[in-house]
Amino acid sequence: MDKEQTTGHLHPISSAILQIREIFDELGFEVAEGPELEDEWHNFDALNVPKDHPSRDMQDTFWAKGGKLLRTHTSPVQIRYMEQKIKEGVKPPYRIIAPGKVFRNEATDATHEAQFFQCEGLFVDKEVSLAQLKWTLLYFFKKYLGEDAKIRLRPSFFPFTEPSVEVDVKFGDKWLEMAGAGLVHPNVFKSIGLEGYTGFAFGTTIDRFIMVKYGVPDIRQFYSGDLRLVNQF
Amino acid sequence: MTFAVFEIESVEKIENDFVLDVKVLPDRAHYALCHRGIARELAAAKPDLGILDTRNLQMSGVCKLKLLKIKIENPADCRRYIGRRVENVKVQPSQQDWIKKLLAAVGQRSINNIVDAGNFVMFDMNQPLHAFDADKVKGAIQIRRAKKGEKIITLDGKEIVLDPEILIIADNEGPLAIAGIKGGKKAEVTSATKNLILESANFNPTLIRKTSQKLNLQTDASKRFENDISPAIAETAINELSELIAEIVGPETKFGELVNEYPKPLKLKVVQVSPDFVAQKLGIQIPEKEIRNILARIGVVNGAIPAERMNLQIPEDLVEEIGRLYGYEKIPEKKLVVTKAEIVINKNFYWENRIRQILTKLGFSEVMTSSFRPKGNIEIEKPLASDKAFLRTELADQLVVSLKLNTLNAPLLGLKKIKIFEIGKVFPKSGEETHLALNDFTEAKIVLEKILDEKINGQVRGDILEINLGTLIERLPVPKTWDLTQRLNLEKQKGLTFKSFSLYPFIVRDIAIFVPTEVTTEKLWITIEEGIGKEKNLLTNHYLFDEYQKANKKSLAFRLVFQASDRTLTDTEVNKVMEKVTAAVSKNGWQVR
Repeated sequence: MDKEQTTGHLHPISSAILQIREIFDELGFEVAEGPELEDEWHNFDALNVPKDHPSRDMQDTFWAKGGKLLRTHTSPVQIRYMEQKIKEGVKPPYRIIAPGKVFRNEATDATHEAQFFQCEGLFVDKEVSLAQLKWTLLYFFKKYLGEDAKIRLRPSFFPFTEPSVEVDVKFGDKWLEMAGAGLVHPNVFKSIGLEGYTGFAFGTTIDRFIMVKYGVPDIRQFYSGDLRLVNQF
Repeated sequence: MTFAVFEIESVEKIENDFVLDVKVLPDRAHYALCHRGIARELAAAKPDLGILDTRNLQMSGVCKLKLLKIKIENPADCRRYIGRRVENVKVQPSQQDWIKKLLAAVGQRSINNIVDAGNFVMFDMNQPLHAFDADKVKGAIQIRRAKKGEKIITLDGKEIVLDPEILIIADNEGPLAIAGIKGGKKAEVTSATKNLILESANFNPTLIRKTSQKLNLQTDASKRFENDISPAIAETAINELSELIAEIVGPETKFGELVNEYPKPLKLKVVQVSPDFVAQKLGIQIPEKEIRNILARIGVVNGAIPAERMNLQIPEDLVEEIGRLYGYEKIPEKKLVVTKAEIVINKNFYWENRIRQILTKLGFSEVMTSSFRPKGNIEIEKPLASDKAFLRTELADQLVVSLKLNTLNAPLLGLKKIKIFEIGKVFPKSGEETHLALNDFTEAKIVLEKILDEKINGQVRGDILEINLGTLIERLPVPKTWDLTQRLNLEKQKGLTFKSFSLYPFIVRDIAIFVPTEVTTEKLWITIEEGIGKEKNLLTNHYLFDEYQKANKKSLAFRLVFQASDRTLTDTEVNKVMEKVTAAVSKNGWQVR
């Protein structure tokens, strides 16, 4: 009856990241990181999103005075990781997940926040297929949401993947859009000078996972510093 | 459609027709922001429907009219320009209901028969079109960069000062239109117009995009040009427009010959893709014949790419077309071969989480707050609000706010003392750093120093300690194994459902009761609950906060927290509930202190 806690609570986003890490650890993926204040090259150009191209409009960007920007996705970590490995002389296979905070310059409401958490995944090897991507995503969602999780792929567009797919996950009796994914676009490898390889990449919103999994109604509550949310987890 | 190519956002019934709202992404916008593009995709997705447009209209019965001269200054700015004189037109509101209805369905206002015809063909074919009043055009049509200081009054009456970054359509006297974006007043088509010059052109997408952003002028035309529509469609489009004008304006209209300036005609692309390549990418062997059939559905035959499909450049692009039309649901799942040996543990990530674990064990809860502040070093160009115009330089200031909020809510949370921390990126003058901030830090600091075997230095402000976690972690050893067990947490959270919390104030009441020693806490609580009765939905939290023994009696003190989910509770309401509790307790012969 005494609800007084002797142990505190991790923020649900931190717990989710640890859970995601654990699931991907079983598949040999390691964690990679990158800065929140990014440069245009890593966030856009290297990812086949050229300057003055309409694909730049897909993500509303917070530009900082002086030319840098707040990363709009965790995808620049793909580039940073591969650059680092090339510098170290380490060739693929590469397997990483990159959880982290990202920013979008859009009006906030119950489902939109100017800051939220994504988790990127990247697998690079000689011959990587969409079938492997499908298996990996299904493996993850079954572990994270439960064995009865189902996924389906829909055509989509991301400049840094070709083909690109949207990943819907069946949760309860509803299909929910949970991730974007695809095979790494050859231009991405070209931009960092890694040719002769293929890969798959995916990106998911962690906040949305928690909202769906536990029924949190408002994304803004994650960043309100309010223990009425945190202490329920 | 959603599974073959585009997401259909909504379907709306208007009279006997349906309006589809299709989410066309930037890779397909150049050919699919129009009815024919959607129809072609529908035909590709459902070949048995048999929709396939092959209409490639050639205008018949053209007349010899006054010579039309077109001069393109730079073919890189203007890839194609087709003009045609049209004489003896009667400009008036569109007389045909069908065109007004169809335009209204896509959110367009009917203007006059000429403008309506141009818009109709644009929404049909994706080619923006324009008409000038020919009698107001002096000399040749010139497609050139504007001179510094040149001005134009646009169709909506705004004066815009031009510069050499901006491409314009001009005559001998000056600007007639901002190329690909908006027409000008000078050669505007009005009810007095008798003769026209029709334009069907193709401009450099980057140039149009830059200009439209610079002038903050996004139009249906600029949106199409910036997505790189194919120069190949310009000719069909102007013929369609001419036919439509002939139909809706009247038989007395005379059409001149096309003047087609096309300095570097588009070369048709050939992209080959082998069945083995497709199999490697998709992970399923699709027979060559089936691949050929699928590609034929989008008009790709022997690798020849249809002129309007600017996005099909490399074999991977064709793999996407094959994959989506074959059906992603038919792609099997192929297991990843795991090589476990060489996983490197990310040092930062490990220690940040290790510290999270140590702190939660010490009773701290983790909060996350906004990265934005009213002041700082890194300023945002276009912030969401003036108090969010900078990036944070410290965590402590928001931890104070969070501490205050949670201290007020302590009874709801059932906590005597609020202990919180945040780990996150901050942006002081020295650059991007990872910090840790926590309150009530004295004991925690000692424990952390002991476990990490490192001295911890930081900024102390009141009850809050903020440290540069990044530099601390640099001094820590490289982790060899991942020894943070998260599994326990996974198990704990199974079946957990979040409970929304009320945003209305709560009321706290303490009640202490003397009971004989043998009465258990549980038994007493059941009695209290009986007393609360149907108001139990207002009881948000409760806990035993004091207990002591006195002779053959013991005193048990409960804290009850009341809160409504839909309104502010009044003292009177809560007092009534407490009276019922007292009554229930007294009925057992127990004494409320």
